[in-house]
Amino acid sequence: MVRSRRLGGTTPGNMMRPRRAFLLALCVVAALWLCALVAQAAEAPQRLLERMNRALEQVEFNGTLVYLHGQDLAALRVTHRIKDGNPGESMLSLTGPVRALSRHARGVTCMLPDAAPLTVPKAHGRRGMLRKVPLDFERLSAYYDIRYLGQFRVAGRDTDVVGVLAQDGFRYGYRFYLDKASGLPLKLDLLDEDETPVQQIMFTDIAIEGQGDAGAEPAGGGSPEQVPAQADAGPNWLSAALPPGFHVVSEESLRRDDGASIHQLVLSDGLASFSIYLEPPLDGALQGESRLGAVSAAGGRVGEQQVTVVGEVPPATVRMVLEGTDPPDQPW
Amino acid sequence: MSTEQQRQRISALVDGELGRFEAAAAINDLTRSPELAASWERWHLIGRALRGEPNTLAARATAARVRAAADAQHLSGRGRRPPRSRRPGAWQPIGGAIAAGLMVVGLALFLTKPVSQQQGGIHGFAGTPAPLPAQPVAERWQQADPVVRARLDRLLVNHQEQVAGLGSPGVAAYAAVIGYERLP
Repeated sequence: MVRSRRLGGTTPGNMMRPRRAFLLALCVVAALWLCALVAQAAEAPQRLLERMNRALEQVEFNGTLVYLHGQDLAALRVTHRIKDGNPGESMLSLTGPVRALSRHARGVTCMLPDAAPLTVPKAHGRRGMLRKVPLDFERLSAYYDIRYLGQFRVAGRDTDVVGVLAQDGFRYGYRFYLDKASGLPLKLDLLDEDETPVQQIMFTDIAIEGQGDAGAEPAGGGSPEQVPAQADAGPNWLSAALPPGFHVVSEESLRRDDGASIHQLVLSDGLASFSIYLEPPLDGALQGESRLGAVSAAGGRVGEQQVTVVGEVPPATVRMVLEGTDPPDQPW
Repeated sequence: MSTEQQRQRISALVDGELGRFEAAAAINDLTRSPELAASWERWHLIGRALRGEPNTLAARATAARVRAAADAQHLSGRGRRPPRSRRPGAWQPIGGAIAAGLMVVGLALFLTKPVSQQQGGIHGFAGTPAPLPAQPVAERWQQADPVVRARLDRLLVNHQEQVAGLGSPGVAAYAAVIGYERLP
């Protein structure tokens, strides 16, 4: 009797088993789907930032942007073109004295009303490779909190907002407003440790032309032009002076107008960066601290060298580096 | 060799009177032609002299070149800003005459002032460095010395040229260089 019940499989307990199995399977599927969703959400801001970098290499545009620093506001006309695969810009100030800048195949030419036009030759070889360095999110996550912050409209266009928020006071945080259609950054806020904007740049109108497929993943899973960052602890005399997370990513030798050598070290945490310039003393070198919007500079004589630290980092960072730098007479 | 049209376009750029596309073309012209770049600089110098603003030749380190060019311009009239065709009207000749007169007066004032008095003193220049003229507080980099300002601009542009792909994408890397201006 008992046996026949078991074999027959028609007891209420037996009838429940397929239901339980079905429910269990449903739960597993739901859990997997939820995990995938969470993982996708976590990756989304990173994907958006990678897409932004591609868009800047592929999409042509022109427009007007406003630049807000402190209480002062300026407007700029901007044109971004891709020629022979190389992006270039021209920028013209629309407020105050006429100032212009052009980034072209030969370098950057900058025309300011109270100084001679200056041209910096295009970075070749190791110089300029930082443009191609992919964002290293694992490294960045040690010093920044990367978050998707929502959506917003800028210049009449829908954007995704991504926060890359600094976890200490040695670097600024960033808030990128990325055009949904093209991936271009339409607004960029630089934030201090309290997430208060210290500088804002925003397009008020933009015409996007020659839009490439910035949203598509490049063949092979990564841009073939990209090269890995070469982080370097730098020379011994420098290591004690560095804020956490910053490494030497490039080292260059430049020539001054009077023939003297300038030794340049470029340091970055993967996002923020500054340069240390070492050279023989000269007239017109910075002694003390200075700022240009969110750019900080500190300079002074250290032993037999003039040391100048410049970059888009808080003043405390350049001050720390200058005070901790003790180069030998010939650091190169 | 720059064309007259290019020179007119640069002249309009100095005055901030160009539209979007013309401005981009003018900037491209400037970067390609040293002659046009020199004109740009010369017209700015003359404009500042006409407006009674201090000309910071020390930062330019081109006093000799500018003066020679201005001399040539004064003697031959070749370096004058090209006349730009604007709205035709009865006032145009009178306005042109007034502008030309002002320019000559401004140029005369500019040229009669010794170079050593116009500059803040720069390495390699002849003459005794004069004390810096009183500068507005809100100078770029908060530096009164134009040589220091020009040098910091160069170091910054050099830095940004290498790292523009990192924290400051594209045009944002240079926004401070071109956009920074304290309101009067």
